[in-house]
Parts: sequence; structure tokens; C-alpha cells
Amino acid sequence: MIAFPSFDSLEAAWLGVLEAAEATRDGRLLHAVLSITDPEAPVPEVVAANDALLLPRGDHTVDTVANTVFPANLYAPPELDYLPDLQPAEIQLLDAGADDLYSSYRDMLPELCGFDGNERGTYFGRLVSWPGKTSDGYNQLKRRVRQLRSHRDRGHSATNAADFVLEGVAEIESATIEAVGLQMYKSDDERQMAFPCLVHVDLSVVGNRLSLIAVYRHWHLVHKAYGNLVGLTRLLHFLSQQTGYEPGELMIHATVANAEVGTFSHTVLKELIAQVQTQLKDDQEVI
Amino acid sequence: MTEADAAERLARRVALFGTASGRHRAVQPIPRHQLDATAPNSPDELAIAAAVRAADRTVLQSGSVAQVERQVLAILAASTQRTIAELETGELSRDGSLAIDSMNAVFVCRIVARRLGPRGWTRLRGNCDPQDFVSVRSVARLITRLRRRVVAA
Repeated sequence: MIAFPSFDSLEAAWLGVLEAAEATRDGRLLHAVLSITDPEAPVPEVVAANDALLLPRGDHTVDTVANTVFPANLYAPPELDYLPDLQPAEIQLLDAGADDLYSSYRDMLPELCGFDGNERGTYFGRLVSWPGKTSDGYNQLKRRVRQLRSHRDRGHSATNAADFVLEGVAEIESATIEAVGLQMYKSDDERQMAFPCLVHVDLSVVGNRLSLIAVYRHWHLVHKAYGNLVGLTRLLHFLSQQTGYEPGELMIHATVANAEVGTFSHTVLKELIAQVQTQLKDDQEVI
Repeated sequence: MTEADAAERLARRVALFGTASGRHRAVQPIPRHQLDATAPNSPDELAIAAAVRAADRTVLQSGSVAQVERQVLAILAASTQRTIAELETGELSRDGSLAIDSMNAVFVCRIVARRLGPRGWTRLRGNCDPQDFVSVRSVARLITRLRRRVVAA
């Protein structure tokens, strides 16, 4: 197990875990745990550096990977945050923004599930239309927003009643709705490496800050990790805006973090690491 | 929260969700939270109603690539409550038409599939590749490839 010290940005966290994994002979870390104290927007130059390895191979870009967790293009955030004393028209504005996101994605879900690799659904599809195969499934995300707003209305500054279930038909059908979270993973799934790699998302509120932990059972550090971090950050900020809790910490637990040495080689990974290090150093100097 | 705090939060949110956070973000396939009195009541219908109404079925069925390209723009413009001219100020793709991201492209295909119906449209699965989802023109070409002529009874 390797627990990294807290990082202050997505890029620093990605760089930290990538460096540590690349430094091992086979490029793998067992039980890597990392947290980002202030997850914010991605750095375009770092996105470009990651994409430069993915695009020539015809692989999904950082933006596309991020869209699997939270399709940012479908959400136009209103210029206000939830508060218990908002006027009905203001709450309607917030709800309309969220409903646009949900409905646009749910409507596209049949098409999205038709693409190669999406046969078993998509992450966001499972969040807004469980179990993620049709447009009329259970909307976990909407329900969690409602729950957290209810806590906020009652002045609760701490709660841990909301996690997201990303797979697990049995769980979601048998459990009481209040007890389940955002489900991604099915309990009788015996596959060792396939969708979904993201198996669980848990939300906690402490000190009026909403924090999120995501568990990956196999985290591909070049193909997916940075895009995953971007998508999870957007999910966290969406939930924060819609519930009125301040955005808190983003934590990742990767049961195996894989630098993909077999695909990219130590040499190529070292070049990528050097590029990101230079970029972060430049950013620091600007600040 | 002070005004300065609110302004900073807004700026951070724009960076995370808005035009600064990635490519092709000038086009968002959703209405701007303006409830439409003529749209169906179900919230699930609100986001797509305007786009469906903007799509000309006849052009989609038999128009040229250039004509269908205008339809793609019209769908995106209607769904974002912007004008086509506004959209056309966005980033261009290699083919010279407006660049869009894959999610927007799938959104357009979904609207076209609705307008043409299952008999007039070949499903995407197995009939497309990632390069079909990069620009207004590539989507228009995809539509002309996947549409089916329906002979009236």
C-alpha cells in the first residue's frame, strides 16, 4: 500500500502517482491512495501532453475520458449556488440546469451504449439512469442532490449518507433507497479487468465541505487517470453547487495503479513526467 | 459570502465547466435554463424539444452534405438558444467547419434519429468511427451515410 501526502492540484496528484508507478519495474502500485485538497480546472498544457500520447494511437482524449464521469458540455452552471433560503424561482433555475444535464444524457444513452466499449453502459449513465442501459432508469444523482439539500436545509454540517452505486442490480433493488449510494459495480461480477474500473463513489460532508472518494480497481495512469480526475472534479463541483456545500477533498483509492509500461515504455513515460514537471514548475513561477 | 468571493467562485466554475476548460466548449447542446412554455411538461423533454423542432425532416432525409451541415448547426443553435452566426465564431476543425466535441455530435445524431424514425435511420453501432464526431461537417457526412430513404406506401 502507498498513501501519498495530500496534493493541492489534479496535476500534482497525477504526476505523483505516475512517477511512483513508473519507478517500479513493472509500473504497478498496489493500493495507491491519494487525495487532492483543492481540485480545480485542468491545466490545458498538461491535457495536451497527455493527449499527445493518446491521439496518435486513436485512443480517447482526456476530455472524452472526463466526459464518461461527468459530461461537462451538457451542464451550463447557473450563476448561483443552492442555499436553504433561496427563492422558488432561484431553485427552479438550479433545478433546470441539472435537469438539462440529466435529460440530455438520458436521451442520448441508447446511442452512447451502442459504441464499442459501452455495451455494459457508461459511468454517467449509471449515475443518472441506473442500471444504465435505458433512458428511464433510476436517477441516483438527482436523488443524492435532493438528500444533501435536505441535510443542508436542516443545518447539518456533517453527513455520510450518500454514496454512488455504479454496478449492482441486486443491491439497488433490495436496499432501501436512503441506504444506497451511487452504484457502479455489481457484487457478483467476477471479471478481473473490464468496465467498470470505477467501482464506487462515496460522498461525505464534514465541516460544511462536501468530499468525494472514488475507488478504482484498476487505474490506467496514462489512458484514463488524468481524465478521471477531471471528470470527478466536475462531478464534485456540480454536487457542491446543487447542494450548497463547499467543495472539499477529492480522494482516489486505486487497488492497482498501472503506469502502462508495456504500452508506452519507461522512456516515453519519463518524457511525459518531465513535460508535466516542467509545466507545473512554470505555473508555480507565474504564481 | 462577499461579492469578491462570489466572483472568484464564478470564475473558477467557468474554468472548470466553461470555455476555458477544454476544446470546443463554445457549443453546449442544452438550453440555458429557460423554461419553454411550448415544450412538453416533462423535465426530460425540456432539453431536447427545441432541437427537435429545429430539425427539418425533409432536408435531413434528402439534402446534400452542405444542406445537412446547416441543419446540424440549426439543431445546435436551437438547443443552446444561440444564433448560427454566434456558433460559427467557434473553433474550426481540420475540415474547415465548426469543431464540436463527441458528446455534442452524439446529441445531434440522437435528434436526427428522432426526426427520421427507426425506418429512416441506421443505428450508429458498428456504422461509425471516432472521426465522424469531430465537426459539423463530419456529422453531416455521417447523417447522409446513415439515413435511409423511406418510400411512401
